[in-house]
Amino acid sequence: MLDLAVFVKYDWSMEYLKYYKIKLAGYICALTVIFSLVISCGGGGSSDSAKITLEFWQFWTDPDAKATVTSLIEDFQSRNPDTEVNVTDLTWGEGHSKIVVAFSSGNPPDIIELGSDWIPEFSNRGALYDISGFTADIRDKHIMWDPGIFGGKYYAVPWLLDTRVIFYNIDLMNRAGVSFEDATVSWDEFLFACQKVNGLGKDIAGFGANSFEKHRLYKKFLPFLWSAGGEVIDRMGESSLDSPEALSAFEYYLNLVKYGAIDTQSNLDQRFISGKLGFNFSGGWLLKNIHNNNPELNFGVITVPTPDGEMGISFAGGEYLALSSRCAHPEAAARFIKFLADPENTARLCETVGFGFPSTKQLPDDPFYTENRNRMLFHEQLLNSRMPPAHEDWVYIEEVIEKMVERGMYRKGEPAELLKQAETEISKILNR
Amino acid sequence: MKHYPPHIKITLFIALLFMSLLAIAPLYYMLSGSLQEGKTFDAIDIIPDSLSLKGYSFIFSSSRMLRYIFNSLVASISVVIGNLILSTIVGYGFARYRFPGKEILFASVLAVMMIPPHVIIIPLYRLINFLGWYDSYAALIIPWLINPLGVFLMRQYISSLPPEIEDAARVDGAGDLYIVFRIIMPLAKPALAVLAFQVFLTNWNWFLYPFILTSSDSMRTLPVALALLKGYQSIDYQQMFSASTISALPVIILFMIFQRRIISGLTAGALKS
Amino acid sequence: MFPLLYSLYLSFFAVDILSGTFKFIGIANYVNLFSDGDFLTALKNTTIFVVGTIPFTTILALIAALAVNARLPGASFFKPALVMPSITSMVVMALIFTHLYSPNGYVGALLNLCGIPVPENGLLLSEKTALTSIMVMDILIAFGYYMLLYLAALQNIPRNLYEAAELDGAGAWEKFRYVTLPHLKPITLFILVINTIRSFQIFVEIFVMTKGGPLNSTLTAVYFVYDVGFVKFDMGYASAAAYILFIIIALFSALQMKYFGGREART
Repeated sequence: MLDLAVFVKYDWSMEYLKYYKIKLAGYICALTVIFSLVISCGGGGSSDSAKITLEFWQFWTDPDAKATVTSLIEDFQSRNPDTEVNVTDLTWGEGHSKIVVAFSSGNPPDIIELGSDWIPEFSNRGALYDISGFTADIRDKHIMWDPGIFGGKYYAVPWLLDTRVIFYNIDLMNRAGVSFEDATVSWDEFLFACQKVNGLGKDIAGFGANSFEKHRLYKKFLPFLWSAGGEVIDRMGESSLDSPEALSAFEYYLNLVKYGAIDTQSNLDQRFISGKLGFNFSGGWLLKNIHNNNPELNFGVITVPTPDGEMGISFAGGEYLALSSRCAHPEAAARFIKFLADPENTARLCETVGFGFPSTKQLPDDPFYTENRNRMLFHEQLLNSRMPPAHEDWVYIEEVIEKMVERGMYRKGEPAELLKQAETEISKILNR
Repeated sequence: MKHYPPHIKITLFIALLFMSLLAIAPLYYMLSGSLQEGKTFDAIDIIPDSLSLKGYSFIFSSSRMLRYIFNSLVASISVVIGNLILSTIVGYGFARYRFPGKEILFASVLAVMMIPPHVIIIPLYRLINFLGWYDSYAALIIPWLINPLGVFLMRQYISSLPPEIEDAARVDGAGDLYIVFRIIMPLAKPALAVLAFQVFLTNWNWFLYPFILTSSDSMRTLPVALALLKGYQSIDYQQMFSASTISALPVIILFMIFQRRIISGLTAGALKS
Repeated sequence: MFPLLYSLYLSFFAVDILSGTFKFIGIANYVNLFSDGDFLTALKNTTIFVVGTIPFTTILALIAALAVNARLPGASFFKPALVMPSITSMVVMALIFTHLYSPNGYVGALLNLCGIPVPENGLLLSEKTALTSIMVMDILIAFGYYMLLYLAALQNIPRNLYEAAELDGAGAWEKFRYVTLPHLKPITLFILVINTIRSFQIFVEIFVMTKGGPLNSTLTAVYFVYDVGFVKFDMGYASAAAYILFIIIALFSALQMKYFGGREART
């Protein structure tokens, strides 16, 4: 079967030795290469001993945004020659995980950019530095401090804010024979428009309803709840979902879903961009995506509808700057975040990323804002927006809300029943 | 194997052709999409009417892209070499030796694969930090030099090889390492080719570990760099498909090289009749 | 082994990874998990996923390997082509399948053609079809790689065994049954175990395509672990969940070893 005889007879001993020498040489080479690489990269930064180095982790990493952040940092360094800022870039997808790993291992950066909905979970656990003392002079300059406040102390400075409005497709509305008189509409008006546009054909949908995406769906439902006068947690700190206001909001939301399509945020945005979705409740990023992918799209924006046609309350989100509780140079770090969050500097960043606002009441006097009606309406809505209550167990509460909305959308229960169940579950979380 | 009746051959041929065309369709779509500018997903044409290289020029306009590719290559190739050598040695031990606790030891090798990465990442990060490897090539290479999958694959493959050749060599006084490198490795070429391909693919595409275990620009790997190019909630399929094409290309080239090895095992292996 | 022991250790504590507080709570995490509806759903979905994909993936891989190995014209094209889906990035594949499964996608059209009703919002957004859709996608993407492993093993079967079988008057089926199959046993065990471990940890597809919805119908164990550990910061609870998953995987693998690895093939 196998010609083993030849195999065995051959004198392998010389081969054996030769082979080992070559192998050994190979190993040594490989190890040398690896070690030299390790060493060359390990001992890179030789710095002046007098200089303070600040570690800054941030998310603005696409080339345009990164260039702006870099130039802002250079401005700061030229004004503060004794301070050096070292940037680490984070992705929107897994950045949160990296932050969690670093904090949990006692190795956090000095300065960190946090989404507004992440701050409470960090500040309530003592992971952030109390910057009340450093921010007294800019309290009046900025708006929307709330998510950064815990126990009366300040933990984060608002940097770049955004909100959500309803985008509508003008061409589809014309085809359906409906129109909005101005940018504030009533519940009935809006529902009627959704119904009409949804009836245009199989590939056209009216209202774009977010499917179950954890940590996103609640941001779409709460504005309707707030605009109807409902609350998740009342002033006494009790769960208050089982109220007539909440019931009317929930029933209205489910009616909208009936005249629309359920899909993920990214798919809804795309369907809107390609002109196949009538109404999309989305954020400032959509302005930029429309501009990049279908600049010809004939669209407008309205604020969140209310029962009687006032401007409703939307959901605000934003990026905040905070110091970790282990920050070694809090004073220099605070100087840096105050510089970055300065409205003029933030406006520069907003312009390069194509959306967002500095955290001020006054819209910056800049054609980027003043010559774009949609953007100005965004700002009006921003001033009429809220963030979720800064509760340390909010992430559990939002899960209850999202499951409730989802069950309603898939008709797995009566709205009143679902609200009652959700209220009970939230009470349990609040009283833990 | 080659004496199938003709009607079975024709059916097989048609089925394979159909499956193969389906299988390369996504790849084609990715390539085609990478050449079309400013399109939403459903607007991408099957055959592009005009070609745009904007996606690629955007990616390579970052002057450091070559550095990122270099980093990925260094890490992936080192890890492949380490795995080929170490997996064969350890796999050989498990396949051919009987020793007390072998089953338990082998089970614990497999067990390492059974814990989700998100649970491992924090202890791993602490360990890497403790050893001073954070943000270095060491973090990208050393923990991955051997992986349970490779040990398992080699154990299975080696245990299906006829032991006669080894026995003969052993009679002639050959040592274990000699047998592993000069007898097992040539015989196991098809499995090693599969292993090399698998390990390269995994390491080349790896995102979570390199992202968490490094931070500086000079240690960035290609998948991390490509992920960082994406703006907040941005919809840009040309850029995304260009990025995917760039990262898929080396893997496809490597696969083409290694798949020849898998065929050549057929003719060049030592098991000729 | 270190991470394995570490997570076992953590699973007996109430851990808040952000503040770094540890509180020993014994087996409370485990007790709570078994009354946690989400976790039980996740385990159920994961088991359905594993049991419903692995036989198909393995058989498809074996058939494809035998077919490619049959010296048909074009084999040098089929082999690389069938492996391509497992090379193409999962994010791209997930995107493409999301569109195939959308209400106006090709899969929906095909099903309509066969007279099967398609859910209004597409296959991924109905709690009845979402998990099955992801399972089908997984089989189609994964089998090419396992085919490659079978091909490597097929190269290893000594040709003279077939010749000997032919001399004994064996037909194609007998040759397959008594020569090919026994030689493929070790690699089949490998494929089964590897695929079981991989499938029990299905995460990326879920993360990109459905985030566990609709109505938890695609919530899988690792997604649950990720959400509890990294979003809710309860690493003790997450570790306990990971550990239960680990025990289930280990049991499955042990069973497979027992049935497929008992006697190893020898020439």
